[in-house]
Amino acid sequence: MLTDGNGLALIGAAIAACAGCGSGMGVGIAGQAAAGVVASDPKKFGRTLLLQALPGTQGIYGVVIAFLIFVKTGFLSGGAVDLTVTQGLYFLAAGIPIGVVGFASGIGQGRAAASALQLMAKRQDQMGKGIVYTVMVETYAIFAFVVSILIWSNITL
Amino acid sequence: MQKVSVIGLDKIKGRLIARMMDLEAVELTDQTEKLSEEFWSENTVQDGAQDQVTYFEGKIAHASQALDIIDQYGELKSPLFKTRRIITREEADSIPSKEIETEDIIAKLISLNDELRSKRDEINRLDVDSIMLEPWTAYDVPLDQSSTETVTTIMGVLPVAYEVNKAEEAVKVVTERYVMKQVNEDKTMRYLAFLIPKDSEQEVQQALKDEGFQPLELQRFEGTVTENIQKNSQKRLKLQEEIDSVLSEIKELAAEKPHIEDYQDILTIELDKKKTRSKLLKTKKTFYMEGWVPEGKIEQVRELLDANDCYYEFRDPEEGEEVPVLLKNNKFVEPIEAVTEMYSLPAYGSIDPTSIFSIWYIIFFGLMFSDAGYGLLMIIVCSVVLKKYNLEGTMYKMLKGFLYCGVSTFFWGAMFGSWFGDLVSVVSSTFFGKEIAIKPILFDPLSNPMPLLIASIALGVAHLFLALGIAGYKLLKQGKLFDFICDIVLWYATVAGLILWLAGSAIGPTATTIGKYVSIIAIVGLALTGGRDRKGFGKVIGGFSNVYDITSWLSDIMSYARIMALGLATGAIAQVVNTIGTLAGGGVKGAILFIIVFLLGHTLNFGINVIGAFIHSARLQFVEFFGKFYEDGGEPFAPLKKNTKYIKIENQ
Repeated sequence: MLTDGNGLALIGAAIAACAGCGSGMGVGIAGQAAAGVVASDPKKFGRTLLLQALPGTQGIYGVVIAFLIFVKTGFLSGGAVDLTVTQGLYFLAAGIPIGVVGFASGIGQGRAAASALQLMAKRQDQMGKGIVYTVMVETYAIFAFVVSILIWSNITL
Repeated sequence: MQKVSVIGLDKIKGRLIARMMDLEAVELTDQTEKLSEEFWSENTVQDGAQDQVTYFEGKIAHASQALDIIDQYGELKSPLFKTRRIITREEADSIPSKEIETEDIIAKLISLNDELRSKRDEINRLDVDSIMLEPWTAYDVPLDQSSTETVTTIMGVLPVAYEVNKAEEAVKVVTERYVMKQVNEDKTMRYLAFLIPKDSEQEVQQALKDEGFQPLELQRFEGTVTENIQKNSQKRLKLQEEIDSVLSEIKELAAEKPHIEDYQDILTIELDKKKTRSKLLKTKKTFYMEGWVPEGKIEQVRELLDANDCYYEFRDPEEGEEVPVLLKNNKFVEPIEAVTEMYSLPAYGSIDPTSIFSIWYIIFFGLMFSDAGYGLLMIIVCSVVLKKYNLEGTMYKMLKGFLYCGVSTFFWGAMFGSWFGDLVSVVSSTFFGKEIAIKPILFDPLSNPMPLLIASIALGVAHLFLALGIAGYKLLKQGKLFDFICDIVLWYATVAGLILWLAGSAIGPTATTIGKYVSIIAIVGLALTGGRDRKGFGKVIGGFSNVYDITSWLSDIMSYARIMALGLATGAIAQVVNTIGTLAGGGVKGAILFIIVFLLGHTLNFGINVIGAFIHSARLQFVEFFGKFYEDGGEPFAPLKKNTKYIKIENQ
């Protein structure tokens, strides 16, 4: 069969996990800026690490959704449920919000984190505000995550 | 805060400043502005001790250079947390008596470091020479004997891009009597030696240069190339030995580190005393100073000033004066001040939100981290560190705060039945063939996330309403009753009404109806009063934008969904880790894999999520809570005190 429910559900999990692309790029962007800051003041390593880690959460949300889909479909425990195509589409739908939004939000947050790192390099006492700017970006990933969770939790098998 | 102005006799100045340092109660303010007034400029001049400041700064620079040297070469282990040694006043007083010895050690360290550097430079020079000589080993004439009365040798390199024939021909044009020898050749260069009559040296040099030849000054070496290379490597060995002995000398001196640290701190205290002098005004026999004193310490300062026969006056801050801010909270809330400080201190005289939001911060943190295992870990680690190390300042506040958050994490983890995720049931079913599960006390959010989402939003509404209440309290205190009704009461009615209208069906149809009418009336009120400070068309725009603010309330409330999101993330990743760990099944092999995956995975999950919980519960305070009422921008109170890095002198 070309498409069956389980396949669609797995595609949903895969899309959710793609939020990690955004995190990867975001953490990378922040990491470059962090290295620049540490070059001039190695004592700031711990603080830069904190800011660099911020764009990493989108990837985590993605993995969480993927995992939740695995659990509900019994993919990991081996006792896979036979899903109908409709149910499969529901799972696919659950994966899309965090996968897509997480991707964009991760990159955006990486940029904000890079700027916050510059801010910290110049004025260390203002780091708290830099973190706030950076965390603002994450809000949208969280909303997408919540939507994904809502879809997932309301799928009846 | 009160401002104190003091006039006293010059001779007690030193003692007074020293005692003020012990009290840590006065922030002296700069008086240079006063000197622009005629009265002050005629009668007083700015005090100061610039030459002594320079003297102490020089000594401190040396001491810290010596400490840097020890850090670099001393191979001492540095502790996880840097804490200050507590020493008694007698011990502190005895430090200056060791000044000469300590200065000796510092000078010794600095000279050893210089020696080290010059020896390393020497090695570099030798290496460069050896590399230069290496290609010439086939040239076996002693280098210093390369010329006689009539004949001389030109040695040098020709890049491979140039042709040897052309160079040779260029020489031939100048003189027929020459010998050319190619000593060596590598990828980039040819190594050539020309034996030529001394009188044509200049011309040959020029002709060769035109063909791309670069002469080398090898005549400065004595003996043959091989001899030189051997000599260099011997010298190098000897230097290396010397460097090792210098290093071991530094290592021996590293044991003196505490003394140098003590000494540097004592110097810093002295320096600060001298520096402070520039904030004073003086006449021939008296001085004048001003400073801020926090309420709680006024009595102590009074006693001190009385004891020193000073004339003084306390007064309240004047309008528009920049007053420093000192947070005052009870012992329980104090650690959370670190979060407030991370944002920005409250403006002077405005509300310090720490005591209000601290409990929220701790609850949010616990909900976001929500794992009993991780909570226990936090409690244990923080307790041990707090017990073992004598931490101070922000570090202490942070760890104490994390201890509270650990308790909250443990509590919520137990409520949701998460102990390192589903560790117990996974281990018991994989390795012991019988599933034992720890039942959640409330519910398991991973299989049923809706109640947690609703709880998160509900907590958010309560949190926001509290913030709005504080804003209202501020308005009432200023006597702005009408503003209170328009900006506070109407918003309470709007938000509460809308929630009832949308979600009231769970209670009953009456609730929905009440909600409907309350919210409609309140929204109309918002539209009517939004532009009350504006004129004409502005009233319409003001009203409209006021109603539009409902969307910002919506986004504020939705923002609390992150509590659920982060809570689920911790639990889900923990389960992922446990699941991966059991992929190899039971048995010894399975157990080994499980332990490795458990340690790595849970460390990672702990690290990422503790950062997430820390930052996101702070964000909920900073953006959502503070946004409603907080006035920030206070300058921290920086009293005259002993700014020591390594020692803490006990006050008796």
